[in-house]
Amino acid sequence: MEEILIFGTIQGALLALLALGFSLVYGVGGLLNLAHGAFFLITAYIVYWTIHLLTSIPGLSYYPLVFGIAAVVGLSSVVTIGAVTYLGLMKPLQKSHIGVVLVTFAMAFFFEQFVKFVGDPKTHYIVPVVPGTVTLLGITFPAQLLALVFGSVILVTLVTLFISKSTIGKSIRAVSQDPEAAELVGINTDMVMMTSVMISALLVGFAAVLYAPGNYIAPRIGWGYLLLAFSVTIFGGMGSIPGSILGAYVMGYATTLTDYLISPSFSQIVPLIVILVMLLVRPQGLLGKKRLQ
Amino acid sequence: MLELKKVYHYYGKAKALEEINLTVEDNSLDAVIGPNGAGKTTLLRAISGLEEIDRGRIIFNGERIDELEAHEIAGRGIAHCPERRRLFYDMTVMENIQLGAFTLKDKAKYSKLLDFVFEIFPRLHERMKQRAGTLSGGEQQMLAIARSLMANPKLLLLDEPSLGLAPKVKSRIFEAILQIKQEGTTTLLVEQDAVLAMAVADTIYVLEDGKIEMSGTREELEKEPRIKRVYLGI
Repeated sequence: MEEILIFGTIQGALLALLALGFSLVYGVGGLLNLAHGAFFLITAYIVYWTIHLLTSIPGLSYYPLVFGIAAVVGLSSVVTIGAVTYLGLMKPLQKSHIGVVLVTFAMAFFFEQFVKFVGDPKTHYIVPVVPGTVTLLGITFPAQLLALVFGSVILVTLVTLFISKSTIGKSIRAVSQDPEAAELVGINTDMVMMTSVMISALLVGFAAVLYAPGNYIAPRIGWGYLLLAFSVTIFGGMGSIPGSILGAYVMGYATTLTDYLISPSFSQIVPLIVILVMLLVRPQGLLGKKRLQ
Repeated sequence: MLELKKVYHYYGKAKALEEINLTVEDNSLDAVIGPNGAGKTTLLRAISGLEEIDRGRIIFNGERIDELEAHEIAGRGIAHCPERRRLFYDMTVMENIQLGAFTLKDKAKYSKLLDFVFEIFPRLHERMKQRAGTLSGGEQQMLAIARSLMANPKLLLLDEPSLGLAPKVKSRIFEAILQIKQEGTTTLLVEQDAVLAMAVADTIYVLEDGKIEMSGTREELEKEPRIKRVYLGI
């Protein structure tokens, strides 16, 4: 029971970071960004390459500093990639939703090949920045995962507050409800959509910065994270921020429960089952509607 | 203040606006009347940049605006209160009002405008924290006008403010429109209820099948037998 609580929370924290941004972009512009998992991939690789590069500099051996610099480089890069993706690929095609699906799908493949080309197809390991283990409720787990949970809770809270309270957040909600009316009050809807893609990239980037250390990375990992983000968003409700957060934790506990009760390999098909069942039974998800809540 | 010169707009091959020439002077309240489907809403959408015109020019305070984006036109001081309100229904009354002032930088002016909209629509003050989607039709129309006024517009475009409202609520809305005029806000009103529009407007344009068939003051138009018969029911 304690294991399910702890590992379910960890899984939920990761899923919340992955799904919130995916849902945000869909809620604001109706855009399905299939390169979302690739944003995780590219951040993790940029962090890995930067650490590799920095540790080769003599005298720069303090790992938290090296990792911190690598994280900033990774996050800045993925946010820039988000902005460029919107301006170069999504904006010209945004009136054709299938066009956005296809072009971001292609982009996800591009990133997969890119990391193979620049690096290699092998798996790599990123050393955790938070070393050691912690014991909670009698369960011992890597301290890095506790950082993931805290980081996720803080980021999700900040983004939720930003969207509900700030002027930019209100303009994001306005565009999600009625883009034409938003234009009429002077909101630049293109800028808002680009901002949403950048926030989404930042969140998935943070997921990579917090979760990739202590794990292996490989060129194909993006697809798994895309599937997780997609399934949580469908479960919670496309475009619903509370739905994504709720969905993330419900899915987190459900997959962990499946791990323990059935088998870890079966839990990997839980997201697929969720997608199929939700689309058949309740296509709008738990709390979903097209508009951002 | 606003000038449309030989403006044409097509939906595919269908002509929606044809050779529109129209001038709105400073501090005036002008109206466009016409039957359903005449192109009234398209005309306002073209001015505010929601529709791209095919030919002609739209000039606002000496600047050509027909090639600008809608949010840029809003930033120049044109507030468009659209047909069927188009509120942000999941947001509160206050959030809608705040978003109306999105382009306004002057905080003192914001407070003054807020006082003014609550003065003309006290109901909105009572319902500040209520979600816009839960308001009655009349209250939603009040909020739509209030949201537009919060931009401190140089020119206010009002599209069918009386649509779907009970007669008593219509009168309240038109009283507010007169108050807005007295405050010196230039207004271009599009209205199907010709009697109401002609009662408040300085210049009236009659739009039929995308063309301006007639224009003039209320007194001038009331002399026209066709206007009397078709629009005033006399």
